[in-house]
Amino acid sequence: MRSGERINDRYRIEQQIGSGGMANVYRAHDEILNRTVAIKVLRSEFSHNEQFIRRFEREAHAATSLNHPNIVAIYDVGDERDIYYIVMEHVDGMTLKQYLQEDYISVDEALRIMGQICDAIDHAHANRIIHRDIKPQNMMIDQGGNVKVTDFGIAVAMSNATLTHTMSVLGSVHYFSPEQARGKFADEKSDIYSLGAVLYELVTGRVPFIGETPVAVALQHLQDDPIRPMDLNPNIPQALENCIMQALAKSPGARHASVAAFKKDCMTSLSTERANEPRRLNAEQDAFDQTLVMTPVAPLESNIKEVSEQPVAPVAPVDPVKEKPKRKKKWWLWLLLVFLLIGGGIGAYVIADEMSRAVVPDVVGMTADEATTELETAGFVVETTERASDNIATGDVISQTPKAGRKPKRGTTVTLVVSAGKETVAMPDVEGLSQSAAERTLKDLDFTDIEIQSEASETVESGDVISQSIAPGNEVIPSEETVTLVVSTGSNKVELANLAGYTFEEATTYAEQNSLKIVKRDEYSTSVPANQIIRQLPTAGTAVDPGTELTVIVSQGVEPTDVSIEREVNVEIDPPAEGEEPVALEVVIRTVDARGEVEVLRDKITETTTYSYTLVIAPDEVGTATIEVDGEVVRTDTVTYAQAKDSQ
Amino acid sequence: MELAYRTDRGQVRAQNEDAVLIIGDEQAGIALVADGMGGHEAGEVASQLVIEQFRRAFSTLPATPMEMENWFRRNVELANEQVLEFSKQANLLMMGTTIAGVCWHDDTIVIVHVGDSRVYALREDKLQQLTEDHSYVNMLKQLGELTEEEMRVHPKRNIITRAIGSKEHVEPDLQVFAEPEFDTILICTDGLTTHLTDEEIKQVLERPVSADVKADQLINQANRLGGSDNITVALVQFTDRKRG
Repeated sequence: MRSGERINDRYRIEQQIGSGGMANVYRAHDEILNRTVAIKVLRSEFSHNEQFIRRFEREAHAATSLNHPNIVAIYDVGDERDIYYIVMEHVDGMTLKQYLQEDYISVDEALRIMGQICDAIDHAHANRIIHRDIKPQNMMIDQGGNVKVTDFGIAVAMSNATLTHTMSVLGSVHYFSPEQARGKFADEKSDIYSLGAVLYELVTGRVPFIGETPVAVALQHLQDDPIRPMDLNPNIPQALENCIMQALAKSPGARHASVAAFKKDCMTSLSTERANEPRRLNAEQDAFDQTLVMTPVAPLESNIKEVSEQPVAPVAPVDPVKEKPKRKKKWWLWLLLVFLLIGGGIGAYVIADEMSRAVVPDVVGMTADEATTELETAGFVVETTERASDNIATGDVISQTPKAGRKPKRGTTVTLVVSAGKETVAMPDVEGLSQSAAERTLKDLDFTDIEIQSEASETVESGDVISQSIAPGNEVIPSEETVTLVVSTGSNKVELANLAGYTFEEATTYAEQNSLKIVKRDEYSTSVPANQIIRQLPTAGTAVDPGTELTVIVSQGVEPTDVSIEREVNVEIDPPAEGEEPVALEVVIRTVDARGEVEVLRDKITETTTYSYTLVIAPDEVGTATIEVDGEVVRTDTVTYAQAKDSQ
Repeated sequence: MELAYRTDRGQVRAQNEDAVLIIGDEQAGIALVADGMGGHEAGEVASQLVIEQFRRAFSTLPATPMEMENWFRRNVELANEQVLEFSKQANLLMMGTTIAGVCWHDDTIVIVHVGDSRVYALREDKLQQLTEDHSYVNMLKQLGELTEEEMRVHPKRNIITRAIGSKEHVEPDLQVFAEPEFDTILICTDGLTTHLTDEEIKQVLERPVSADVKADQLINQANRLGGSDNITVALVQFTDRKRG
């Protein structure tokens, strides 16, 4: 969008004030209400994804219900010609991230800011809206020190799990909770964790966990304790550190019960009553150690640094083209080094440092007895439960808690889930169901290999199941069976139209369209014009299979017959001279026609005489008569079939 | 040897952002899939740019394992530059693509991948995933923090940690196999593996039908199960490979 452009004939874009992977933010002027607003515009490459748009709108609408001095108000949500936008209150200031500038602020100021943020989040929670992406980048702070939180619920809209994205869309992992890292649903407790992380940053100047990659950071959220804030800033009172550490508890249950409780805890941390508060042991710590491992290890980044400071480090950025000759000789060495780099990172986690702890061995796949022996040898207590399993043999371990590689205290109970063998189900009767209903029924019972065959059927509706390969009621193990469903494509017979009166070409087209073989038979007809269908076989209305021969009887028009034509010829005799006897001349008329060659007349005449004769002419032929007088041809009379026909 | 490929829009997406390439014969060839990302058009362009790069590069496919690896690395880098360049010019911030593929020359097979498109190999009766997804969830899974099942339903399972077109340099994963005696190699985008488990894929690959029919069946199954993403498969079936 360029400045000066208008959205919805109302908002005049003034300046871009921010941009993200999914949206750009502009300052704009609302010309109706004559005020400055901020407009978040979805980037055009995403404005064609309907699923995404729906979530974007739904979440934005939900946030419009929030009305609080510490929440950036949403005025309008709309779209105009594929431009999706959210119109928001414009805050004249900067984000809290910009405000902090990598430094910490005084505890007093931190608490003044935090109090406002808590009020905003508390209000949202009261309206059953979870923020899910609390971070200083989503907080605006104005000249007067007022803080406003923005982007409620947008995180949900962004998490369209079917669109592939790179890490940049993961957003900031620095503030998200362990349960979010693990993919569990984020709730009020997740927001409390994030508030704790923001407060940590306000008073220490750094985020709780720092890592090379988002994954490294996420991992620390899951596994590590952050450095105690007081170690980073000695001015922090113990009571406030206690509050921060409780909010950052791994287990949601160990955090403050509500945002209000968290707020109260941090706001009272400077009070005289709490001046001598001892370091609060994480309430969850004991319970946590029983079930999970929290091996205190140095932050991941330092491990990586350590490894990469070794002389092997400059491996990664080698330009493969320029360095080719060198690489050729040592390619295996690179592989080895890469392996070491990766291995080193993980290895640092695995190396134990406390004798009271032991690594849980991987017993998945062992028999329950083997697993028990192995775990007991390692110093753990074993408990087992059973569960049906499709792919694990009876008596073998399906899963274990804690997982292999964890390092809980010796004596911790390791729970094994042991396979009770495969579960059989009674084959359902899906005949007559629609294909999708049948597949759903089967999938619900864990049949995975369903094959569909299509077949025409006169009795079963198109799309419904005609038959199933396994008879209903049979006890089967769904994962081991292939169920073949024969699904009806409906009746594929064609009910023949009445083609009488069609031209042959039209009938051919009809046959092609209905996959019929056309056979032509000609017949003369006095009533049906030439080239039109007289009748058909099978007759109209008959239902036939595709490929059936359709015989059409095509009119050739009226059957042509021989035509006879009467012709006349006048043989002129000159009258004899005075007194002379007339001379008799011989006249012979021969015809060559459908009857063959015939002499139709032989006569002797003495005076001019008119003869008539008949020519019988076959279709497409000619009839010819020759008239001879005294052996000399005086006339040849040729008549074509058409001429004869015309004269009729 | 039989080669087959299919690419399908699926049931939900408005366009197909996947691309696929398969060229070659018994002696030498390449088979690649790419799953573009970045929304409208950006994804389509990204995956096409990568495929076109390899189409042009095919004639220079070398014959020794090490050169084949370098060939892959170099062409992935070139493709990366092109996608970056395009995304800068068109101001498409989120543009990028995965790649997964193989090239073979005589008895050597080299496998490449970046992102969450996969290469599988069927050998005797075992289906093995040869690639480790470069995805956020798979990294957590490798570190023991997520189970296979948690990974399948994780809301951030769409986040990949490496892509072509997202950074100045891209580091592809490469693997060399000498005389691997694979029966079939399957290369696919996540549109297939979102819906089909490895077991389901294996069952299709083991059927005594042509590679073409198998490709159809894989696509059809993924579509029947929802087809929530574009689906692309490429199959290399070594029918006459000598068995020891």
